[in-house]
Amino acid sequence: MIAETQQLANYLPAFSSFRNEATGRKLPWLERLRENAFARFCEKGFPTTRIEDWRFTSVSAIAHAEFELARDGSGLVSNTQIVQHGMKDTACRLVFVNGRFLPEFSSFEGLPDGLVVRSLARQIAEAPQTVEPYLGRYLNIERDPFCALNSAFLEDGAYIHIRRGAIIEAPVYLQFVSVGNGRATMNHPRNLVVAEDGSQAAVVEDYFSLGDSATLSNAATELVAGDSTVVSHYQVERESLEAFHISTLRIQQGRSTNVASHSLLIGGGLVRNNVHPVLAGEGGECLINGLFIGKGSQHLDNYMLVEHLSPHCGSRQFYNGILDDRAHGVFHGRIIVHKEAQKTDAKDRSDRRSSAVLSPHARHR
Amino acid sequence: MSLLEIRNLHVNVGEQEILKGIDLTVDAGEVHSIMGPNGSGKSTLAQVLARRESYEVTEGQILYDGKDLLEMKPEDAACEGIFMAFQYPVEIPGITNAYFLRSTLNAIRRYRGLDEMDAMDFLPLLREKANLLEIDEKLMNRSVNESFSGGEKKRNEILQMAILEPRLAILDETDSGLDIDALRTVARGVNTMRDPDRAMIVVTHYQRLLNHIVPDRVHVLVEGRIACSGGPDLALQLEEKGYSSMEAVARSATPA
Repeated sequence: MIAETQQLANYLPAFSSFRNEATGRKLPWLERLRENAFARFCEKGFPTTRIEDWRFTSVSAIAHAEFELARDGSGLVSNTQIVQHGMKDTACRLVFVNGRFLPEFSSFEGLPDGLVVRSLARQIAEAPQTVEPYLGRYLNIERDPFCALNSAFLEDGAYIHIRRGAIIEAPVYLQFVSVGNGRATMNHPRNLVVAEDGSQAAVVEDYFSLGDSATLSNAATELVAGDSTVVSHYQVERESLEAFHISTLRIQQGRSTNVASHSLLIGGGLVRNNVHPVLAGEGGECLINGLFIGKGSQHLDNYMLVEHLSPHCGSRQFYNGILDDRAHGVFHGRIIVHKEAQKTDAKDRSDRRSSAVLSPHARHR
Repeated sequence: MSLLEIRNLHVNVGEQEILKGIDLTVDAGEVHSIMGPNGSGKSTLAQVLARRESYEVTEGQILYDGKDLLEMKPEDAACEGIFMAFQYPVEIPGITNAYFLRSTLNAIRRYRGLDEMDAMDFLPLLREKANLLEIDEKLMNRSVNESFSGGEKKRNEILQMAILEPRLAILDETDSGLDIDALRTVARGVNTMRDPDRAMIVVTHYQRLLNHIVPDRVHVLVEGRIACSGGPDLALQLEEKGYSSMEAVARSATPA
């Protein structure tokens, strides 16, 4: 117990100085959001394997490490490195280094009509009323301490707004670079995607690292899909084997929505990817695809929680892995069908047998 | 004579009155769009036309090709050429899609005194229509709609329409959940079905579909009544102004 208190004590000074400097610190709602989240994190502490949702994954390595909060990403990477690792043919590119938006590496040329993208910190500073109705409203900080920690340190990330009826064919590309630079650092990117009624878009979150120091990237994305939207979300984790990566995608689906979440976990030493769609409107559909490829001593944990709140919704999951050496792959989760959700069609097509385990020491559960 | 004539239609679901006096005339060769906010009665109207029996018609009349539609059983209405593409297509485990499509077509052919089609004759027809709608042939050998994605289900409904060649087709929110490519494919399938002998009623919440399937007439349903009718421009106006202005008009017109 004392050890646990000490672990949390490392975060207190970081939070104290963060909240005095953070963007939007004078906004009462945002201040409350951060403080509540930090209180919640302190109360719960890091999850242990005694907690059901975490029974396959020990995060004690994260709990025992001392991470410094990274708040400035400039001067750590070059444009060549960004471009070399990046994806082409995108609607725009937003680059974040250690969770911080770097406009000099980002590109907004030829941004299609109906698409607004900018850094969340800038949006909070310039137009907080546009984010207030959504930010923190969907992510469950009660259930997941990492989501609480992300919300406590909420400041920067991507803000993506797709206007009513807009069809954005090329993907919105978000590139997150973790740079250790000799010190163990942590960053907590927070993204907000708001797709208005009848719109269509794809968002790619791509995480990679430069340098070999331990980093913790603890990302959270809230995706609000309005009625009759078609939204695809891609999560690519390819950080170094020294990296800890926790990510949560919380999807709120309106009526007749069609949302797909695809995750690809290749990199990272200890990785946990949470996907949490809530089918709130009638006739929504959600597809979750996950592929995890592990080697060395990687631990790749996929967790999903699908909630059906309304009638006539469908959900499908397909998780598959390829595991070599001593790598561990995990897929678990649950589908909750609430009483109102009549005529639900939920199927989980993930099967341990459909994954490839290439070595006697690798495990899939 | 019009293909479809709806006169003063009142429909209850349980105790609640959903449709409060609908008058609508659709001629062969026309495409009519029914738009309206959620809960305005669009789907109820569509389902009454398809003869779903859980709705109670309390007043009014529907004439289809001069015959009293409300006297027809659902299967007879289907054989008479009424087709409905469902908003939420049902799965039928154990019956392959190809078998289902051929049986429905043959049921209609029997009713009309035509010879049934055997599998050899049917297959080329099925292939041609499936190609038109860019439907994977593998879906033909799977159970009807089982494990189909939302988009595949919607395309499968239009495939049924293409096979059955109805005289009156009702499409209930066939656009919902479709991405722009699937929407274009579905619209192309629907547009190739436009014919001087055939009428279509396209029920939709959004104007988007009507960019691709341009209707002859647009009717806006609000609170169980047709609040206004017009040409394709009406849909564009609605997209700009939203339904709220319409709802205000409908409310003021409601007798106290």
